[in-house]
Amino acid sequence: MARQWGFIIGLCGALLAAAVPTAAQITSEPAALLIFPRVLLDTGTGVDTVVQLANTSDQAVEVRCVYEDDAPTCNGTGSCFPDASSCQGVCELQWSVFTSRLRLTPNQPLGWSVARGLSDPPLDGVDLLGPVGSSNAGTAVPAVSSPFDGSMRCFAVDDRGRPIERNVLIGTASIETDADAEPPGSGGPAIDAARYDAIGLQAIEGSNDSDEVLRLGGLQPEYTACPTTLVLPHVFDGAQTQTGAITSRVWTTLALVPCSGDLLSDSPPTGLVQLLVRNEFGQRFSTSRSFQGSLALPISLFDTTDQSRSILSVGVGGTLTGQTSIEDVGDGVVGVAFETRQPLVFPGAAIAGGAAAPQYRAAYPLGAEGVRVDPAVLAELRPPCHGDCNGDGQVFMNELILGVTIGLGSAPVGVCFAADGDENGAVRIDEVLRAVLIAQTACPARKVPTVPVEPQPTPRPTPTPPTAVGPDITFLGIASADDVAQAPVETDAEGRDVFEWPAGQGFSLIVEARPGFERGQVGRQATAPGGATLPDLQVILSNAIGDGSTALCDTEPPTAGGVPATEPFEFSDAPEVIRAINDLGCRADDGRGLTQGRQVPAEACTRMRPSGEIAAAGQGSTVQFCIPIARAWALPEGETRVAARVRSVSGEVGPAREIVVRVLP
Amino acid sequence: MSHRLLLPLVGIAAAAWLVAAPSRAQVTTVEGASVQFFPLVAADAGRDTLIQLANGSPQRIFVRCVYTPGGLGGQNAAVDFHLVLDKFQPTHWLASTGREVNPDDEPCDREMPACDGAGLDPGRIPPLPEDFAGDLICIQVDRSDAPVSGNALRGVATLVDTASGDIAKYPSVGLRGAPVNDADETLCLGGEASAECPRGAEYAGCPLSWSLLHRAEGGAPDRLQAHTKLVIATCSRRAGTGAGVAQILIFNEFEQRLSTSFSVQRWTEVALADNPIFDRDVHGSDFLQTRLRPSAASPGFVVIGFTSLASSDGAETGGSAGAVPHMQGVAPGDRIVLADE
Repeated sequence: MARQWGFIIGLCGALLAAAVPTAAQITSEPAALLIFPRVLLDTGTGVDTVVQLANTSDQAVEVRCVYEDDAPTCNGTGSCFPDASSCQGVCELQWSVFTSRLRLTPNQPLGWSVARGLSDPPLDGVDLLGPVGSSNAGTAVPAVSSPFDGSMRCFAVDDRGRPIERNVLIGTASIETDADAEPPGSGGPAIDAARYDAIGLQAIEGSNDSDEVLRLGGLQPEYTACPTTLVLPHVFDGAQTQTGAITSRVWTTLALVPCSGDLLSDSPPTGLVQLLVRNEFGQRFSTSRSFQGSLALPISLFDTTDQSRSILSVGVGGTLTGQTSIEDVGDGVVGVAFETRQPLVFPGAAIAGGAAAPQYRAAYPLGAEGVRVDPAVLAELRPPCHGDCNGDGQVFMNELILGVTIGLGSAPVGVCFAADGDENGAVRIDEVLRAVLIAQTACPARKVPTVPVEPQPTPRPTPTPPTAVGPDITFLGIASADDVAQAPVETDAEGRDVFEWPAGQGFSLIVEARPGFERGQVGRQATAPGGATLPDLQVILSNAIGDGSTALCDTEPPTAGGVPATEPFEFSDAPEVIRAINDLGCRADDGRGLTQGRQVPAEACTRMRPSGEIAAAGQGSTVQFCIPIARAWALPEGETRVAARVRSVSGEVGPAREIVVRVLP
Repeated sequence: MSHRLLLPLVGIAAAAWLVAAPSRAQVTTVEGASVQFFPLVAADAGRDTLIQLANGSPQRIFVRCVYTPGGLGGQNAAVDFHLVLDKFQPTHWLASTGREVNPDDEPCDREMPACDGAGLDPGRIPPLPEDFAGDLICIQVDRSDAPVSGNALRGVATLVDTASGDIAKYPSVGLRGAPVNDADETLCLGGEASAECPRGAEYAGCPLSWSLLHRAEGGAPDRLQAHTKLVIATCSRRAGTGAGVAQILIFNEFEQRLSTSFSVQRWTEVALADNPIFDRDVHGSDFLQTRLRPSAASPGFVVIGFTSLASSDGAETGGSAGAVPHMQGVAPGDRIVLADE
């Protein structure tokens, strides 16, 4: 059975972070929804995929798996697979979907090759039963035809095929090569495997409405959300590495699959991913790529057809390895990476690269950052239809015969639950007749997938006009060591925000500012040369931190020390105050080791939750100072007053602002 | 498919302890973390390891890493080093050669795709001694070298067969830190408050159980044969004896289960082919689900699996693949002691 994919279904606008559950997203734990981002079959090159799926619970579970194939086909002569070079025509996307059903007995692992399918499950229910009479009755995974290049999703369902909240599934896929070719230098046929774990999204307890539309994240989520950003650590394409006596050329293939999709629609989903590439110099490059269906490409083909000019090639990247962030502007994507190495030089013999040389691949998971606040919607199932054993929306003669067979007691009801309309475990004649009627008419129409109407995000307050000549402080507070700006726990009698932290270290002091009404740029220097004059950032403390050392900029171990208190607690030009301000300013860091402020929002050191987006904490901030508080300059237990003011580049000092940081015992 | 039934069950263990769904594990292979375990780093006659470590944070971070050789004697030969990574900076090194600080390294270009040292050197990374096989732990610290729950570290390792060029990759296993970190030299992984850990857990506890899906040893006569190896390392370091017992439950496709156990002297590399309990001929089943958990008195474990393929006659091999097993639950509590205080 083949089905056409559909466009991404309903999108929702941005949500307030606070309104969204912050559950972890993709997981290594058992889940109710598994995504295998790449499944590959190419008999011409000896490539097949072995899928393993297991139930981790003591109770049997039904599973529905959907293969999605988007291997392109050549509209002329030749082939588009594995690449378009041999196609004398145009490679066209062909989107097709295959559905299969499995029943996993308690703690049972099952496996199959995509080429062979699984038509003869281990516990067939006739000759072989499990210890308590359980079986794989009804399990049938069709073999797929070569070439196949796509993905697969599997859902825990009940015995009627309706999604259920059972986080009991784990899975892996291994893309394996067993080619007959003799690779030069290796002395044997190429055998290779690239194995990855299926990406798990857990069902959220008490939220699944069992309909055919699965909501991932957002309001009223049924499953955990897809991540906001995927993180790909990689070797730049075309780089050469030497290990022992072998020099290999390296490239990485990135496979992505959208979180949203209508598996029963006619058109493939579309996506647009933005890639932000960082090399080992800390330099950044960016590009974007649109796609239909799923996407599996060498990373150096994401931005150009000339791989040597790609920002993901070693020649442009400039270093051996990089870290690339991938963000989908739609409903989110998940994926897996494959590194391929092709030995160019073996001990004692040089071989040329190219088709003759063996290639070794390895798969690895992408990192994830943040939780998407807008939902992804996956429509995969048809509404229940009496007599429709395989869930294709129609009742055929073979299904009627199956119903009769069950009714006669010659087959278990598990081979076609849809024939048992009243769910009493048997098929009566009236149920068969009802199926006959439906065969002559039609199954119920699909429910149009919709998502709950999301509330409009509350607009962020418009910044008030500046009140002073010098820079206004827009945020003075703390952020956790993992970069999340914290909200004050209260406002004290003096009108100061009070921030709490469970330890004297392990957080950052954050100061943000915007120009005052003179509109002069906010200064960014956190220290002045020699600590002899006041810098642009001026922060004083009511308590000494660390050992209160008066040494200037004693930030490095083994002699790292603290900062003295300012007494009286007020800004002044007194040498000891200037020195203490510079001493604290030495602890500011722009992310590259310079004691200066950052341009925000792009360079902010703080993140929004749950999205993980890099953003300033205050409204209208143009400069942000981040002062990580290390153990050597930890705040003492109790309350420490922190006052800050910022100077513009023209020398105007803005008004001071004060907070209290309370370190819990 | 063969329907050969299982030989008499070898002690159907009380499995309820493994099957009962424990609470959520807090270990990650996809998110940034404050402690990253690389359970297998090898630089020996047949293998080398490329380590990739990256800062996922907009802040500059500091890292303390420790290589520990496998086996009980390892703690005396641990190799420590320190790194500094700028915001979002990735870095890498080859275990056998390490990485020197050399500001004169030329950047890569199209004419020079072999450019191993290009980039900001994060600090001197020592080469491993010959025939090293053990693990690597990297811990995020603050600027004054005290542990911090920054959750900024991400890692991946590539095992390279130095004879053929075959590779296997695995993500490092990360423990996320909690805000209650007291920044001392004892890292409290899971567990309740105690004299050693007065604030309770500073980091996620190691998983209670690990589930690996793999093929039975051997394989059908006309197909590729699979061989799986487990690398098991204890989570606790420099605390206690370092010895533990890993209890194993194996489920096959016929819903049968067998049990066994492995002794773990801090770190061990176990070839499943050495134990007939994993054989296809024993199970009559091609696919297995193997669950591993520490015994009651054992420290928690970090586990990875490696599978390699061989032709049906065993003459040709290749296809190495690494995998971090699926995780469930939280072990009672482990400690990493960075230095004697």
